[in-house]
Amino acid sequence: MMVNQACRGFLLFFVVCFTGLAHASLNLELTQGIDAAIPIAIVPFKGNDTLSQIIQTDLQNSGHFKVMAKQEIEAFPASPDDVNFAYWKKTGVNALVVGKIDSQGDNYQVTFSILDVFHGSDPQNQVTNTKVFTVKKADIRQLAHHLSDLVYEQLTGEKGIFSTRIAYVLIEHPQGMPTKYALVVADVDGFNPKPLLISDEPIMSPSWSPDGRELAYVSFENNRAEIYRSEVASGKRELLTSYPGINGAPAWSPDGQKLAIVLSKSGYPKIYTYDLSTKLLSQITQGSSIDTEPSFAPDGNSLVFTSDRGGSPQIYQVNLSDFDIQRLTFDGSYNSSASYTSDGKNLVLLHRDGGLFNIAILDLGSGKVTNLTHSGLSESPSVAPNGKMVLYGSLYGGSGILGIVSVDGQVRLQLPSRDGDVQGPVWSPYA
Amino acid sequence: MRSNKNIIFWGLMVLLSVSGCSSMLGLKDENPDIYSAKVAARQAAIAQGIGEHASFAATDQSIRHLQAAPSDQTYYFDFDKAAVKKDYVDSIDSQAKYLLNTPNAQVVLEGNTDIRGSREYNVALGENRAERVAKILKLNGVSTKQIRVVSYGAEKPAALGTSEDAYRVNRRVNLKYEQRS
Repeated sequence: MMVNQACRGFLLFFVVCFTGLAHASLNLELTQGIDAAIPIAIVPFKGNDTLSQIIQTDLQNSGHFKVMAKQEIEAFPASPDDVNFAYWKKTGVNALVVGKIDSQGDNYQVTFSILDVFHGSDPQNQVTNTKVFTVKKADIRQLAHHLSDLVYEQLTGEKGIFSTRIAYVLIEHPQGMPTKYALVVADVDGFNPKPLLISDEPIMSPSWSPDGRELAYVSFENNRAEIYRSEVASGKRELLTSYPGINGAPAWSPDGQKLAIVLSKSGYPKIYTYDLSTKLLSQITQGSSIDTEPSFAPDGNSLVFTSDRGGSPQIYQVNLSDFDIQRLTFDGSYNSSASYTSDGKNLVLLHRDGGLFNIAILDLGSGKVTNLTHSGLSESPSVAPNGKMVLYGSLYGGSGILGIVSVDGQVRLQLPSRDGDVQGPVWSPYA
Repeated sequence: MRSNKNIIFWGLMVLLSVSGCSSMLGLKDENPDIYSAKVAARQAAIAQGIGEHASFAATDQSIRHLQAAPSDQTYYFDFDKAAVKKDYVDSIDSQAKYLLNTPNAQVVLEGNTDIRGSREYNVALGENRAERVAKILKLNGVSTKQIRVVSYGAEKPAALGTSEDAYRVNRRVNLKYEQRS
């Protein structure tokens, strides 16, 4: 096992250098924003406008902001003292972001201010938020995303997701060569993709640990399904389960102590919990149905899962104390791939209607199911940690791409890949 | 039809073995050289009969391939179904006979589905299909030691795309010999 790991590590290094995967990128494209977007201007920061470009793209892609185009900006304040509120009010923006960057050896010192233009001209009610940061030059993108989070939170009242990451499976079909599979981690805007695992055999069902430091996933590298965990920063990995039959759908518990998994060693696919310290298994569901895709409720006391015990795939909930099971979906003949929004009030799931597979949201209070996508070729929904956006897979023009849609259906983005088909995406917790 | 021919053939063999080949053929009182030549000729005729019987099923290429063993096979399934089609049972039986006669032979049964819907549910559906084929092998007496089942769900499609044809060729179990002898 150790030698194999070393060999594979070497292979990983080799392949990264020669396939150009290190340069792969998803291209994030906003296809629809909300009507009541907040008008804002991000003035290019004095000294270096990379930061302001990233903030501009982040906020524009959130669909909640109408960001003034760079070429329309005619004044260039670098600090609140330079700001002519009367002028900016005339441009129609509600808020303004200004800043400056100073190079200090290997670091940047960044001073940044968010100004409320709406109330700004009244000195009594001026609202300004100024912060200073010192960062390593290599971390400038991460700082930019953090600044986007600050702007987003101040102006919408909701936590931003610009510093989160996504993991997904990339499938390449190089000409005349066997298919290559990779488990990739990237920034939420698709930048900085890094393969955590490269394999000649399928990889499936990645799941983030609650601290965002690890991924559990299914790999067929030994010509069978096995569940592994990998540390994202170091790449260090550990084989967790390799039972006969299916080893699938790992889902981390909110306290990080257990995984819910699927094993078919009993003869049928059943839900188990696997304790990460003791390595003990606990069987949660019984019977001859297909039970799969477990996902913990935010309080960790129950799981939702997909089961065909009623004749076709539907979502059920199981209480982890008394193993009581309730059916949750009654709309349509196929519901699967469910997970909770962070407030525990909704399930995001895959819903089939007339042969079309779309991402939908189920209001657990009213029982109402609302489609969020409409192409009919969707799969693998994953909810953002702020509960407001859903990442999913889709087929577009014959290729596997990723999409993001807000839970109210108003904001839509696509992330096609230049390098192959992408699928099975998962949104990380907050950084 | 086939089973009638079976009965006739084996019935004849039993009769011949019980009563003695030469007396049945009515050759007892002839010149010994002519007698042996005629016996040889009659035996040659019977030998040909055996040959015809074995190849009678091969009236077209695809069926011959299905019946041949050891031979990798692909069995197709209907949408959302794991039931093995009747047309395939003879093929699976042929593989089973070979496996019974060749204790070191090993097969893997790879279950697959079309690309629609939940990936993990498709892994379960693929396993269901592969296990159904495995069951027929086991009913024939094949040991589980000679059978490996793995499901790839929708992860190893035979054809890409969203046409009904692509869906159809993806819903399959691949029977592959990992070891033939």
